[in-house]
Amino acid sequence: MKNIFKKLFSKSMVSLVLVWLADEAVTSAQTGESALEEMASNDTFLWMILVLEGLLITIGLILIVVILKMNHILFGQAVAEAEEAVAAPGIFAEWWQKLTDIVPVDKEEEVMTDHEYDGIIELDNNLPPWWKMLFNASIVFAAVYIGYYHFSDAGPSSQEEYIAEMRQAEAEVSAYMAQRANAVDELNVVTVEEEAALAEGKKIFDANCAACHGREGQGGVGPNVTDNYWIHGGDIKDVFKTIKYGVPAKGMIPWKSQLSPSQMQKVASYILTLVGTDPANPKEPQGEYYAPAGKEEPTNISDNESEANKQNLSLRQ
Amino acid sequence: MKNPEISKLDIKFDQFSYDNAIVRKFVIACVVFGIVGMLVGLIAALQLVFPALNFGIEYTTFGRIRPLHTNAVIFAFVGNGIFAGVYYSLQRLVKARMFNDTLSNIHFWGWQLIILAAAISLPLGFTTGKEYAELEWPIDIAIALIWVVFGWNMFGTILKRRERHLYVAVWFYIATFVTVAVLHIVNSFELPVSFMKSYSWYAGVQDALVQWWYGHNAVAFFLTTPYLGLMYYFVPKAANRPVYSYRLSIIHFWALIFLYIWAGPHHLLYSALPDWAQSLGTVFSIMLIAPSWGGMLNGLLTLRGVWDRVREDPVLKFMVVAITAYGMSTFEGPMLSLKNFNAITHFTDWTIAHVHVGGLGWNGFLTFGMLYWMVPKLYGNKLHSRGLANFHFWIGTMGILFYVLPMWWAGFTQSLMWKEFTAEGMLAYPNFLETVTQLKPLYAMRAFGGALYLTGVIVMVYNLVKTAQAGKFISEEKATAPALNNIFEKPMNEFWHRTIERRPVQLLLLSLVMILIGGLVEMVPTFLVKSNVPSIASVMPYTPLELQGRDVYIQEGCYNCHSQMIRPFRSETERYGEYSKAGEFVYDHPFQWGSKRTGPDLHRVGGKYPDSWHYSHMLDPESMSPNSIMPPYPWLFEKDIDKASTPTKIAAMRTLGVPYDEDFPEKSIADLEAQAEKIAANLKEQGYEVSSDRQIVALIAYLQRLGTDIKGEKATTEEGTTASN
Repeated sequence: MKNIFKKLFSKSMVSLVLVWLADEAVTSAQTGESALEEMASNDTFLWMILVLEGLLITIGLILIVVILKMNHILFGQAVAEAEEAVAAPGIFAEWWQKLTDIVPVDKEEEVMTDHEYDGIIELDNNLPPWWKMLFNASIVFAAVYIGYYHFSDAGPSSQEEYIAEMRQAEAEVSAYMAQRANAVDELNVVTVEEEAALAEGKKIFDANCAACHGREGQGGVGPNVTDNYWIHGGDIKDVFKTIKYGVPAKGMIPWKSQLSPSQMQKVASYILTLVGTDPANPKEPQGEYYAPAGKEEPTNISDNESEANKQNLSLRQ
Repeated sequence: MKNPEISKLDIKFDQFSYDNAIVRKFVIACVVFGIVGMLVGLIAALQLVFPALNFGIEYTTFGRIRPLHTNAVIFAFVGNGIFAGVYYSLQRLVKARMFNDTLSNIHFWGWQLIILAAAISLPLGFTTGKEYAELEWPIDIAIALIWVVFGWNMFGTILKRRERHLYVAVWFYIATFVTVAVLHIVNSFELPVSFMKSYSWYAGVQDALVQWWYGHNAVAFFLTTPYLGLMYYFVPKAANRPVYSYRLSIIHFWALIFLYIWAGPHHLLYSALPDWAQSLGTVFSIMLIAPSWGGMLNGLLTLRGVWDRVREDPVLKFMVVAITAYGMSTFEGPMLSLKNFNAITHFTDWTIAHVHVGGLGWNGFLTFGMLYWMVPKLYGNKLHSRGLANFHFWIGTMGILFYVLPMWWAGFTQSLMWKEFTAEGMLAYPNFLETVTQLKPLYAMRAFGGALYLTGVIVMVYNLVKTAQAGKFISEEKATAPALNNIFEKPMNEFWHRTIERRPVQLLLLSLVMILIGGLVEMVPTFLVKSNVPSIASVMPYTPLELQGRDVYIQEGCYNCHSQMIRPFRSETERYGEYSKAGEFVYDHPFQWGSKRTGPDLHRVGGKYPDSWHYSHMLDPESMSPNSIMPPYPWLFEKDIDKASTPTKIAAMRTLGVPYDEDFPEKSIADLEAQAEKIAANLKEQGYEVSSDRQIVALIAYLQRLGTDIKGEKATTEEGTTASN
């Protein structure tokens, strides 16, 4: 999904790529944030970023020119000379004259009006030709834009853009998922026991679950997860399912759009390690008693992960 | 060049004087409120880094002082700056004393009283909930009256002028007067329900369109056109150079006022506003580049030949940077109006950066330049210290850079984080808070920039006070000018536009016509053509409790940080839920779409969390979202819902067309109490004891209702608010 403008802009921005790369090096060093690189995998987005960077650089350049000019004025010689130099013959001066149609300061009597207000007098220089071109171009742009979006079938509406974006994303995601064998879901999920995986599960728990279920799983807004009573089942598959789809009616939000299946597997496994820990200030038991089952067959998560990472890499390339 | 009339022999010279006393009053008000407004801004900026800086007091929370900041700097600092400059320049440009000293003083004191009323009412939570138009209806009426006094006084002065033609600065003053009057009156249509509470006449999409037509043109006709007028007077005066091009003045004036008024919808790109209106906003913004730059060119090129003086004269330095900042922001603005850019920058700090290039650079620096030039003139002496003025210039410029660059970067960073997906198709930063805490260092830098800028202003005040102390105030400045006789022979080959310049009333009417066209073309179809806001059968009016909760939401200024407008992007529908539809807002008087996401969008927050989550979150946001920069709202747990107001509020909504039954107002209190009891009982079940009379209960009811109407069968009001086991 690309429209004319993106193409138009992207072409004009090709020359800015090199500047952008240099800029990017500085910026990523500045914030130490990788979002930029990640986004680069998306074509449309890349172009938009380039254009935005172009905008930033343009504004930056104007700023620098102004500051330099100030600097020059402040610490250098008189700039009036420099202005006269512009009027000196030469290709640049000719072009300059053509673009600005400016009457030099020493000949300004020629374009002086008889207007005078509190000592302010007015010259009547011609409209700068470059300015007129800019104005005309913007009017043409407006006409083309309205025609493209509202009087032709070519320009997508906001809703059509959205549908196309979702479709593309869906295709990309399902292509990725198809490559990924044995994706974890609520039918085949098993408890993981590796320390690293459980540590990651704890991290996920602290970041997302602790607010409602308590830092030690003792419960709060949400139920206690350290006792043997479960409202929606205490098996790994049940816990996984509750996390994945949530219980919206009771305020448990579905996490499937925020956590990956393997993340949900890790956090579910971590939660089950909390059972029987007996934290301080526990919330009263809710739901039905669920007898702690025998240990599930542990799975080798690290293999799964490295496999996934490999595919992840190959997809990026 | 000589005025041809002067050469006639029977010239009668009038002796009169200019009123400088009124100018001085506005100058003092301008700097005093400038410092106050900027200080409030600085505090608000610091609160985003250190949320504890509201000191746990409701009157100083971000949601209440951010409107105080914007209103103070726009209407008190810039407003008084405009009046100071207009009262000084107008008298001299038309060679006449102000029309009537009483009107001048009513204007001055009336305006200051309005500011005082704003400074008291906004922290108290009296607000209409519409950005830059937050002041409640009694103050709105006062503004309209005082504005008319200003216009009356200005026009009286123009009509008894001794200068036959009006200079371009005066055209801008006239256009400012007439347009601001129209904007303010149309946008402030509201139905009072009590002394300091009203509901916007318009709802949802229409309210949004009117509000941003107003909001954008407050920028255009309060922050731009009067300042262009000031530029046309003070720059040539300070530089002692002729204005570059008369014909450029003409074309850029008329093009600017005609085109500007159309551009409002660029604040609503990808919103529920119909696409055609959005496109008009985009293309008229693009067409504004050249007319805006016309003003910049006429300002900068007036300095041709005196660039060497810019080296020495702080007045000119301030003016050069002001005009450059104007050129930059009028280029950046149209770029941000392109949909692709807007998709990235909107709702982020980029917008904040953009307005501050204009505010700090254009308005601030032009005001400073004007004051440094004008105050010595008022006191008949020289500026106390050129060195201090230069220091102000440099620290102010550094302040702008330290403010704007981090905000650009913050906007860019946050937008990328919002939009990033993993290969599995999930949000890379599903927790909104993560994208906020990332920005804290940038927020700190911004506050530093603001502090630098404010320091400069304080130095200026010292400098100006010293200047005043050393001089003697010239209250009445003597002037002489030939009287304007009635016989006027039109010169041969006169440029056609001169005809209009002799006729102020026609100029005003023509400006009025020009500015009405754009507004009418956009508003009339949006109000009258049904297909622009397709109705949704399942969308129901708010219950009385939810309506009271909504008023709490407005009172606390939640819209300053939270939007209620999910745009049709994958990154937003994945994060928040189904994108927002025009038909969902038909009962929203006023609309609460917001313009900045310091916190997440709330349009679909209804039913997302249990009541107890909201309870804990409002009491202490960090308990539910560690490191949150949202302030706690403990007073909502102590203050009671104003139940007695419910029937009046419901009746007012009926007047506005919300389909409540005729006898519903009288039943509304019972309805409210029943729903509040349910929520309180539900909270109790979850372990939180609260009286059903408290404001928090109403707020929870409203939040739980938000965006649930189109969730299908399950989304009836009952279940939406009391979702529990």
